[in-house]
Amino acid sequence: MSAEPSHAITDLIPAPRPCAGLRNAAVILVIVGGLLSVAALISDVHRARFGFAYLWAFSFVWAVALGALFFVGLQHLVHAVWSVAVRRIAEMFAGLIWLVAILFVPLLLYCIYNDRFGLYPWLDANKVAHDSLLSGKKAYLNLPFFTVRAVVFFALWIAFAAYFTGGSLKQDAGRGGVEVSLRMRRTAAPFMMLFAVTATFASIDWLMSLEPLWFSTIFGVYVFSGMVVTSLSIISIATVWLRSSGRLGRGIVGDGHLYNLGVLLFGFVCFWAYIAFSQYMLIWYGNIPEESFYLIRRLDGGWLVLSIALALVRFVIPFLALLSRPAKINATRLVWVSVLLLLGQFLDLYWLIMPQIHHDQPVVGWPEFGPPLLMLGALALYISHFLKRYLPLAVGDPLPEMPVFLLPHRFVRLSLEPSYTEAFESLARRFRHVLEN
Amino acid sequence: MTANSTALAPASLFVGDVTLKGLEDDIYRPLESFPTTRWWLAISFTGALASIFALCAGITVTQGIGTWGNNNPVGWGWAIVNFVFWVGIGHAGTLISAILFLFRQRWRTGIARFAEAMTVFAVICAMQFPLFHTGRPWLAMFWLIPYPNDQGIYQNFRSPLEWDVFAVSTYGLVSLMFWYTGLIPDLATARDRAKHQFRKFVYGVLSLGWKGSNRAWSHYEKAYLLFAGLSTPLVLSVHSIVSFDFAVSVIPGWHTTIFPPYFVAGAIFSGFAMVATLIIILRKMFHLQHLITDNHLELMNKIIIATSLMVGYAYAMEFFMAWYSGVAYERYVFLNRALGPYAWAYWTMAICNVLAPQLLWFKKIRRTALLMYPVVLLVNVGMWFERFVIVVTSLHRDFLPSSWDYYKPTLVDIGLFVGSIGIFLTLMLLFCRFLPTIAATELKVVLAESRSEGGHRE
Repeated sequence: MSAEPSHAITDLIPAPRPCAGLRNAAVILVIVGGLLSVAALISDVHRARFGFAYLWAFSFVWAVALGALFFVGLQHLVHAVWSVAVRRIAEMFAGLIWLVAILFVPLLLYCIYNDRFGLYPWLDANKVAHDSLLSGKKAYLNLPFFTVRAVVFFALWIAFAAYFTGGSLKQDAGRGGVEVSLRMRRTAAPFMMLFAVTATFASIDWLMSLEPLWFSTIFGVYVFSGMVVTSLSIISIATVWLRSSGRLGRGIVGDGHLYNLGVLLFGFVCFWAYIAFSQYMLIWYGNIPEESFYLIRRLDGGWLVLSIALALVRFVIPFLALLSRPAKINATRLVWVSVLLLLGQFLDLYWLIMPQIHHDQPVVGWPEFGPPLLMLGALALYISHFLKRYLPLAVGDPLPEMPVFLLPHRFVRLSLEPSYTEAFESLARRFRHVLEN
Repeated sequence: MTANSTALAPASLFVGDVTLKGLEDDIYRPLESFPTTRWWLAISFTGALASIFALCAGITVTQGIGTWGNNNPVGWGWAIVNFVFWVGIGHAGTLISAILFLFRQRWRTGIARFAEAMTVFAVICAMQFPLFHTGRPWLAMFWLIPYPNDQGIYQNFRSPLEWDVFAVSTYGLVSLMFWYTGLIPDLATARDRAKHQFRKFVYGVLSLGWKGSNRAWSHYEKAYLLFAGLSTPLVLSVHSIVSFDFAVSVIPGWHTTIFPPYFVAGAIFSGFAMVATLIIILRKMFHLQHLITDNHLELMNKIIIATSLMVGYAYAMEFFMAWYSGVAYERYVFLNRALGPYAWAYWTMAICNVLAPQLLWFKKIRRTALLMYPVVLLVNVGMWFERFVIVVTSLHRDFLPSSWDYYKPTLVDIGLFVGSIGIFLTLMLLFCRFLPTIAATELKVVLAESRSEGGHRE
């Protein structure tokens, strides 16, 4: 059963082909970013700034990959049908996680040579010895355990990414049909549990422990909410781009899919705001010095502007821009809001990381540009490589029916098989015409 | 379509051959027949319980709050525990009707009406406790609601208790209106089916003259969508604000940033458990197993286990951060919870809320009403204990060891809680007899859709 329809649907979308433009841009980014990074690294003055910038850029690609992995797991968990058309794009970003693991290695090297980089204060044995609070946390905050945790996190994430993305690619090749889908649904629940635990402790390890005296029980959820917004943004951008460049075929990804992505994006933008507000408000209201110093630093001096910008970029503007229903189907708007939210993620991570090195005000100079350019280049290189080899649509997914959207709320259920595009072209257009008038 | 790939299709929401007429008859039968002996027995019992509430409320009002078990370090006792418990139960209804509606989850139709009714009644029960805690409830309006007065005295807007007044009353009102909006077409059906003139008149008035015209439906759908959109932030905000009651303080065990989402997850958890507890009885008594199917139970159980894990995550995170923070008071409070004089309550909570729901990993248990019933009962118990643990264990050993005390409820406390259960169940029993317990009109649409899909599949 799986062989025939997958032949049929692959006829409807173009075969994978290289994207030279993206690859060339990626190579330039990698070279420029790499040179800047090396320059900052070898300069005694800028080395510490480079370390923080590296963590900053690393956290961004980490959030992209892990958020996409969450998205894929979630679709399997809730047995979602509509998302089949965009799930491969998420699977593509989830597959990035092994690259993130490689990019973690330099970070670990900084930690080992901490005396030269000074990233995490708890790595400074001298400081720990003279601070009873810090030495009280030694059981958790120490380099061997930190490394072991990171290895376990990456092992789990890579295993799950290989499982979900690999399984879906296997279906494309006609191997494994319904059984693979059913197995992925069953695996999704335990995956979610492991995801929640690993993502939380990874955020505590890599981001919260930059200020080892500070603590917040919601921190893992805070990082998670930003992560999901980031992955949804990048999935939305990629979907619109792949659709307009014709790589997704015609009529397969409709306005309804954009609408659903827009709804999820809107929902998680609100969720981020809710979590951020909960954390901020409770610490502000309680006003206990042992936790409020973290916020005071971010509200003082030059950082205040950034804190306000964060609220605007990550919540107010996207909220207003995506509130109305037509806005969510408007591809242009979805893309610019998504770009804004990606900037917001950079801003948010900057807000979490950088006050630890620049106490008085945000500082941006060339040492801060190296790592982000390098990693965005690596991300683009990965995407061009993926698209050269694989289709951006899970054509082998044996789902029996998919909703073809006429309007955001009105859809007909049709088979994913050959009739799909045909149905959309003829029947759907007629319905759409009637409904639009 | 081969049988193979239908394994991935959504589960059916009906059992057997359900017709539009049969569906309507089944839903309206309880409204149109004389109550059974069992119903009379049940309502006599719950009515008796409710009268205990009246009695204990009378004692509270005439003799004062001193009749409760509150003591010096534990200034908040069962009253706030019960308040949070009932508000939590009131969360499932609006979650099902609003959030699941926005997510286009069609299975919500079978249980939405019942859960919404539960929400409204649970909020009514919840409001009793702060109201009687004021000592003179008839004056509470002046104390709680800001109004212009020549004394220039206003409520303390910086107090989360005042936010509670706004949050809970807004939630109660919107839930009531949402519920009623959904009821209108069904009330019209009750009117059209009515044989007796008086009955026709009453349901006619209640259905606001609904005629089911195209225009009316169009407005109705729009209103329903708007209500869903408005209720969604409310579901989150109410219990977040309830959590602020505790979290804005600086008491170890109360002041922690995860409280808002943790309370919301707990509320959904307890709400779904209560829906499951009652709807299993309902579908058995009214023979509605073909409309509220085992598939519905399974989906509800999945939400129960998901929220159970979220609550478990919060418990664990609180413990971890208490250690990680290095703050001696935080550490002590959590150790005291698990090992101190209230360890029995703590472990009851942990076993009921985290351990017991793990049984729902088994498909057999999720789909068998008799097997899942003990689990959801335990969740109801566990969620009451969660609030007890949060309130009492954080207070009973405060910063000054000389004032440490052990909190014990009095008979009046117990009577008020048991009585509130009586009020809740009495209202539920009346609801079952006077209003359609399933959203009949909506369910007909789902039935028609699922039929046309069956056609597609062939």
